[in-house]
Parts: sequence; structure tokens; C-alpha cells
Amino acid sequence: MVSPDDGASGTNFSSAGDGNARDPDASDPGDGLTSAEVTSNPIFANCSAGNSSWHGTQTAGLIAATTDNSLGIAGVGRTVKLMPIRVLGKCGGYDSDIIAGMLWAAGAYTTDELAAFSCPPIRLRRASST
Amino acid sequence: MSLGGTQACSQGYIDTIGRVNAKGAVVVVAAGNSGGNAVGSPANCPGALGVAGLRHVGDKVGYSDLGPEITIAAPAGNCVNTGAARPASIRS
Repeated sequence: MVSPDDGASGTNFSSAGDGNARDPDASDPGDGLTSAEVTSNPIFANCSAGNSSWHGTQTAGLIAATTDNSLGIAGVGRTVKLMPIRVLGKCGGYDSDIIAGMLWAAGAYTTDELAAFSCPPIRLRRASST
Repeated sequence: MSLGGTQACSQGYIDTIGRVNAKGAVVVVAAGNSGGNAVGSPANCPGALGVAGLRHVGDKVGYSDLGPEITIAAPAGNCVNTGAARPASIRS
């Protein structure tokens, strides 16, 4: 993997769920929605209330969970390292954040672009949604 | 990336994947889990490596989307787990 950064650190490009904008904390705060959130915020109008899927955390574990430690599952890649970049949150996310994360991951993102990036706000859902 | 939408591949994704590929990196994207429908975006984009899901006997698991944009398939859910604590299906 071509990486601009140490595999142990990541960048959070999503403003959803953690109360702030893009920052170096890629922790997964979950995408669970309360009924109050669905009814009070128009951007959640097409989503349903429910617990978090923890989809990103689950997928990360499938790929690279530590093996042979008697904890949870074993990742399929014994020596794989992940660079977590969170681009989705409650009710999905935006192409602009996904694209920014892709460019950042490959080291193809410039500081100037960060401010100028603009894409149609097409809402996406995580792949586990059916 | 385990995400996607139902739209066609946008020019923004085409440009982005081209730039990522030019850096020597591969973009791997889940085909989608909408029950055998068309491959989602950006898995349907030129240069993206779209991934479908297989069940335990080796054919496509029902929920995995399918189309000519698929590059590889890998084990997904629908495994034979009969215990009370069986895990949830593994979706890409």
C-alpha cells in the first residue's frame, strides 16, 4: 500500500457523528440514529432510526484483526496493516468526503485542494444497507 | 471501500481513481449488497476493482450485486452456522 502516513494513524474526513469536521481522529463513533434525530434533521429523512452498524469497524476487523490472541475473530490478512480513514457517518455520507479520503490515502491530495474541493452532494449508504 | 450508491460512475470518481492509480495504488470497492442488482458506484467506475461476494459453496451469495464491472469475488456470508450464537452474515 502506498501511504503518505504511518499506518497507525488515520484521518477522519467525516463531519458526521463526532461533532466536528475533518481531523486526525478516525475513531468510529457509530452511525446509529435515534427517532428524534430522524424527525428533527432533514438530512436523515431517508434513513431509519436504529442502532449503529459498526460497519467500518467490522470490516476493518475482517481484514486485519489481530490473530492468535484468543480475542474475537482472526483477520484474513495476518500481516496486513490498515490506515483508517472515516468518510461516512450517520445516514451515510457524501461523495466529496469519500473522494477526499481516497486522494488523501494515496497521497494525491494537496493542501490547496482541501479548501477548494467540491462535488455534488449525492448521499451514499454503507454497503451493508439493503 | 465498503460503500456505494446506485448512481452511474461520476466524472469526479473517474478523475479521482485515475489520480490514485497514477500514484501506484489500487482502489478496491464492494460491488454492493442490494440483492443482485447492478454494481454500485464507485465500484462501477473504470479503474476500480469491484468485489462480489461468494457463499460457502462457491457461487454468488444472493445479496451481492453483479455485473461486468466485477473484477474478483471473495468469501462473503451465507456460511453454514447453525449454533445459537452464529455470527451475522459477512457483507462486503
